Amino acid sequence: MELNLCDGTASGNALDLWSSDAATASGALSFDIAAPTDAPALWQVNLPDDFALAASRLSDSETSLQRSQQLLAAAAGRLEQLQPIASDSAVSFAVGAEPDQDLLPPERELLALLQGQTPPGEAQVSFGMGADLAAAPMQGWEQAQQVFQSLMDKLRQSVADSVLIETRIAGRLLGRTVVSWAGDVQTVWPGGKTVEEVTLHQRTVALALKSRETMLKMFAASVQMAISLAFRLALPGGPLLALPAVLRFIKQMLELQSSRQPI
Amino acid sequence: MANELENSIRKAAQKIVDTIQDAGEMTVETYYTEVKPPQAGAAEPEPNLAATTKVEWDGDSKTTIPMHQTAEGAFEVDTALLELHQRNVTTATEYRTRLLHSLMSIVQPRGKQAP
Repeated sequence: MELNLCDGTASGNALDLWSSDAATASGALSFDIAAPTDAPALWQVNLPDDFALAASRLSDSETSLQRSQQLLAAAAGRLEQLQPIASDSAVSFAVGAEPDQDLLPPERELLALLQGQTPPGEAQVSFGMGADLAAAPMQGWEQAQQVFQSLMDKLRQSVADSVLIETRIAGRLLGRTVVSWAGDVQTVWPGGKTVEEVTLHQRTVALALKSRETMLKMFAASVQMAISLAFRLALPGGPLLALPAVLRFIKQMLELQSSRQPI
Repeated sequence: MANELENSIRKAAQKIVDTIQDAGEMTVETYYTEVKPPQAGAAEPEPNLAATTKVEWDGDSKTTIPMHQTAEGAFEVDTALLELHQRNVTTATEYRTRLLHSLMSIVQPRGKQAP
């Protein structure tokens, strides 16, 4: 299934189905999300001409989205279990009573990032934490700000005045729906559609709207996780610097889940 | 720092909640278009309004339903279109409810959130 999310400025799906790469606003860190973009976000799903296959593709996406929502709750639970263990040379971490060498890959990478180490298989850390912050504090701070700004931009995009959802079969328009923030809905049906075709579009609309909700939930959950983690582990840079590591933790769990590996 | 970040996020979410709650009503409109063979240079046909539902959050609602006239002159409800429209109303109502719930989970301080 081809699913594109366009906002007039960029397209893609940074966190799989339910998000897109928003254009990063220039300038200082801003918390303002009151000004939506003029162009509506466009969800366009192009399904194959085979009806059974089209329905199956939509089912896969619905399942994937549902698992993503469940994963958010699981990620928060796993981060809650991380505890610092004091030692003479450095701070190490554990999940409950387990030593840190038994940590699962997402936790291991999260802690490596928080301690300023390069994660396994990476030539360069994409955002500096801990020791990196001490060595070049402004760099780590600015990178964390960029990550946060990017997240706020995605939120701003998701609260654009309206979202336009289109379903197509082999390029042919099946239905078009516009949903505003306040819940107003306008749907246009080209005539002569079968019940099955109509159902496909209604499932697409439901999928697009649930994706927006998941984006919101991800935003809220990641901020809460960063605050909790920064407090419990007494991170020197605070929650803003923990946020990129938390986002990466969630993303890594999503990737493991989509590749059907143990998370 | 944690408070500053939390408060900023809460204020932002509260703005959206206010915007949604200030809208005292929700309108759902369903249109149809007649599909004809494409003609070069022809404009896309204007969609026709088939049904409208206006839901006011104080409990009132108003629906205009699609009907057609039979050969005998009687009026019949276009059940297929009406069913489509009703599904749109359900989708819109559920979306608004879930959206507000998600936003409220951001706005409310930790420890006071609904399960």
